[in-house]
Amino acid sequence: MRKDSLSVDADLCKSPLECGLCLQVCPQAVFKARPGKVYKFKETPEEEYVLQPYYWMACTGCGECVRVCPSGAITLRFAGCHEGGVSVGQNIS
Amino acid sequence: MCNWCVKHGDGGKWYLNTQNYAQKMYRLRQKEVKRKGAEANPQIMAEELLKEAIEARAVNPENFPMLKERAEQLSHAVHFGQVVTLQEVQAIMEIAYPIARMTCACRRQVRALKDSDNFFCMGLGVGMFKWERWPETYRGGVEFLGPKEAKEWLAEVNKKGAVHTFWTFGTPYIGGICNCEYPVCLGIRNRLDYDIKVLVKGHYVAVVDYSKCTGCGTCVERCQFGAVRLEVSLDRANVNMLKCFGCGLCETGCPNGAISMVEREKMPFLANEW
Repeated sequence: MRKDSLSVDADLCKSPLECGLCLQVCPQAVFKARPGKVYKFKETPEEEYVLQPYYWMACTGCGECVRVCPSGAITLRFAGCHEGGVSVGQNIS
Repeated sequence: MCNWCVKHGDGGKWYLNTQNYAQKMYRLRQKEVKRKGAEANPQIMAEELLKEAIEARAVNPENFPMLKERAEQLSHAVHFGQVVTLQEVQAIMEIAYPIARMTCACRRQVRALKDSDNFFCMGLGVGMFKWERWPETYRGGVEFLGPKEAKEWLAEVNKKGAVHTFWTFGTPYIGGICNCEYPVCLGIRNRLDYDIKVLVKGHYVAVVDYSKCTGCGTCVERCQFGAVRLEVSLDRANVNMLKCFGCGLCETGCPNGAISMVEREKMPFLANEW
């Protein structure tokens, strides 16, 4: 597993807390929706949360998040994950 | 007795010392945050350091020990947790005032649990009045409880299988109780999977009375730390005391009363294992 193997397109993932499908479905609990900005006397509004593959090193590549994501914001890249180059350059998204 | 008991316990357990729930400690913390601004909120700084350490462990393992130490140092100074048994978390309910149920930040961030289903944690102390008065400062608002209600609710949560932990907000000020589970709760997760001590072990370890254990396996299911196994050939539970965090979930779940919680200090080689 490399850090760039699992990525979230912030432009496509608009409101991870409201949607929450990838968060709920991940067997490894890899994702975390974190407040994009912290305010002083106000809680960060839901739409300002940003989805991060926080525990990316725990990802097994099962692809469940990619399947449930309604906006296609999550990409898994398998290139280089097997030694000997099985499925080099093959992406699912 | 842990380090924090020595420093903040006043001769006893630090989380049973009323001074660590006092309003003046909260005021000190407020001043600190006010001086540095929201961006410099120490809790958020600690979170960034944690993230760095976790990543380093996978990418640059040689940097991990140094980053881990930095993250632990800051966490221990500003925001860290310790595991407590049901009995002792109920004792805290007699000490702290006011007590309120509130939504769990971990469950929100990791599983996107909606605020209405997410009342798993507890806030303690004067900060709760602020959140009641200005609900926009904390998601979902707060729900005040009396000590009796709070104890009953904690027993219910314990029955479901959550681990009680208490957390500092500017150590030694204790400002919250969390009811945690793996892998959703980040304290347990960071400790078990990444060996970062943002959550430290409690003051007890579980001991099984083999004459009473029937091997039903309830304790195995309830342990959030993977410390209990079923010995297949002997048909009885085995607690790995080195892995045990002393939460007592196995004890409260055991239908035969076969498990008891023993002071960590009584085990010479566990006395310094936090």
